Amino acid sequence: MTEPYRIAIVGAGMIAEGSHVPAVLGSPDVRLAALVDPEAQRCRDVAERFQVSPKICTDVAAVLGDIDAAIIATPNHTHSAIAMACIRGGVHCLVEKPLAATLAEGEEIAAAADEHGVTVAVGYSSRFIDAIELLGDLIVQGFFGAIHRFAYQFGTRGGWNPASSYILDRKSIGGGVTVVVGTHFIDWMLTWFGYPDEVTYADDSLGGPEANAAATFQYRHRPTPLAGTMRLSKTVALPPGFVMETDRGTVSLEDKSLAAHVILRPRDATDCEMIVRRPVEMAAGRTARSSNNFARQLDDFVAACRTKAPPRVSARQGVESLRLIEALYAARTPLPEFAARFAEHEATA
Amino acid sequence: MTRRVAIFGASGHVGGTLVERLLSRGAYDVRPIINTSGNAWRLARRGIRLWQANLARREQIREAVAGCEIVVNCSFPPAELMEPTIKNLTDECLAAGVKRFIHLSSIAVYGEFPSPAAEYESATERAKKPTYGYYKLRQDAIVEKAARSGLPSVVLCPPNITGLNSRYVFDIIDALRRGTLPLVGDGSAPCVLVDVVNLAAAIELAFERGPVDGRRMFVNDDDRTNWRDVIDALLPIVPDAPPIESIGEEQARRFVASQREGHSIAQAARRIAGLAELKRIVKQTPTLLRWARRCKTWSKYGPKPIQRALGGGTRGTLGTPPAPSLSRLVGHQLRGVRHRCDLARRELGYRPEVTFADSMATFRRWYEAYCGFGGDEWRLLSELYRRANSGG
Repeated sequence: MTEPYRIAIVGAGMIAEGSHVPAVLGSPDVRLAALVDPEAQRCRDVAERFQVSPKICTDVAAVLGDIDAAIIATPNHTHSAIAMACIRGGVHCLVEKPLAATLAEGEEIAAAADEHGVTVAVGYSSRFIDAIELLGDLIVQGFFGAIHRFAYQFGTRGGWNPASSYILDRKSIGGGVTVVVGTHFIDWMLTWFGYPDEVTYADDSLGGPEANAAATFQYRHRPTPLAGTMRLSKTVALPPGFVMETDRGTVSLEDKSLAAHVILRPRDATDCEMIVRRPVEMAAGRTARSSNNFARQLDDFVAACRTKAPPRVSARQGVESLRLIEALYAARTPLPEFAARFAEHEATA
Repeated sequence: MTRRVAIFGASGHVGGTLVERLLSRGAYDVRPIINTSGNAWRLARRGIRLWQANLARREQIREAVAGCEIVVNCSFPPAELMEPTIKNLTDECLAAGVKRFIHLSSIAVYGEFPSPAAEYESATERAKKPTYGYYKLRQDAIVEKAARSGLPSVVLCPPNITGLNSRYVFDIIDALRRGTLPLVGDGSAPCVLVDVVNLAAAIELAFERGPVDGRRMFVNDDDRTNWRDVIDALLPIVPDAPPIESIGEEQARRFVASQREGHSIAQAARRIAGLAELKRIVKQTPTLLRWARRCKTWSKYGPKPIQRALGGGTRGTLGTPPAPSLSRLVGHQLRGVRHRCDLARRELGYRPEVTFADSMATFRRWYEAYCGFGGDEWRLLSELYRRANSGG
């Protein structure tokens, strides 16, 4: 039998405690070898809560010789330094999304991973959600025919309080809501439709992380031109979901955490809806673990490390997401309703 | 010398608006104080320093109010913490020698159905435990006591708050879209509101003026708005709203009374299931997670009796959605009192900066920009609103 993979979780904050630690402890294929956080007490608290006794330290360098892989779940601006230390130490990495706070850092990580023959996966865990996976498969198979337009939105009144409060700082995030929330959709979009030919972008940043953002995407070189929008908010609750207009009708995907289906309202029968889902025999075989996107992400990562096959979300894909995010920020204009205040801010700055 | 103003609850609707107002003035050293980072995006986007302080921790309050001449309390702690936190805050403000403490009360202290005398602040408070109004009333008593002990305290008493980012206006829009907000009678009942800009203006006035003995002062838009006006003002941005119905006052009272009754088992189970800690435990316990998922599946696709028992059948297209209940806003139409701002006008020199009509027009423009309303993408986004509001 293969030895369990020795994993360190770097960063003992909310995402580690709520998602990565349970995923690791639930896997027979891995062992939680270390918890790393600048605040050692947080590691001790997490260890106590889960009744485990991994090695606890404040710097990943102290455990590089004792681990096979690391899950990096720290504030975005620290991803690069930690990932580079791991890669140089021959340790595989699953880096929480986004891969890094800047495109340059992301490219450096991807290049170093290739150079050292180390697997780097990016923690776009939403790619492992059944409905997202299903929709992606259907799009790639051409099930809906030509796709003409799409719209995505996700808005909450705040929420998500990371232990480090890094989300108050633009540099720590590498942006704002576009990175914190939008990056998931950007990852799906790149996977489904490729890199857009043209973008427009507006947000409400006045120097800090933007709380609201809106973007448009144009794909001119597909067989059928495609246009789409993305709307994100950390101050306004928006019904979350994705909708697209296709040859077969209107397709919608509600909140990503909902049931594993997409809904099709056929073009020629708009008074009915079709639920598209996996065959029932596939759903019947699902276990709690195989329905948990963080557990599936971990399994995919470990399998990639063992077999040297690419993980579902590779470092190169993470780099493309960063490239598009930077392109959006480069195209930035102020959101219309903030234009006046923005001008006022500029005048006083 | 620039006066230092500490604003507790700066990440909230009123606190955030006040911080932005004071920053634009340039005449204050503004210290925005937040509890947690998650709700502070509106201010964080400015790239300014935000202070974190937990009102349950005295040492954190002490640090936050140090050197502050004025302290404004816009915090909104959970009910069980409302009394201890205001006690901590007023004690620390007293100890720090704060020159003016401004506290936000609420018209809820006069109860769900205030007496006609509540036109004026001197009316008897009727809020009953365990309502929000009751806890605000307890807070007011603590502030008044602090004022007697030497903390100069101005207490402003707003109604429901409108303006950009207003949760109350979003609640009305949601209720209109769901068809759960009928008018009581012909909708002529008074609807007392305050635009957040007006409230922030009143708070700023209170830096200089107003009685400091902890007495309440009503602050509102001070006009003759009724519920029909509010609905008419918002319907243009809810084009998919079903027709507005009308119900009798008696029916409305019966509905409000029914809301005070206990939960059914299904309602209680859903509330318990919504608790964050429970969610986390379930998520980390494979067996529980498996059962939770089964329940979710049964509630949507199981036999009808099971769907009904689990309160499901409302998502997707399967099952029959239950008849929509009424919004709690129906009860607000029964308050029947127009609170007068005479005291604030006289003592603070308060004059509303924004009229109801301006407030709603600004909100509509803002909503269009934020929600994509009316644009090309609305054709697609409206699908999400339709599904969300039908429970599907």
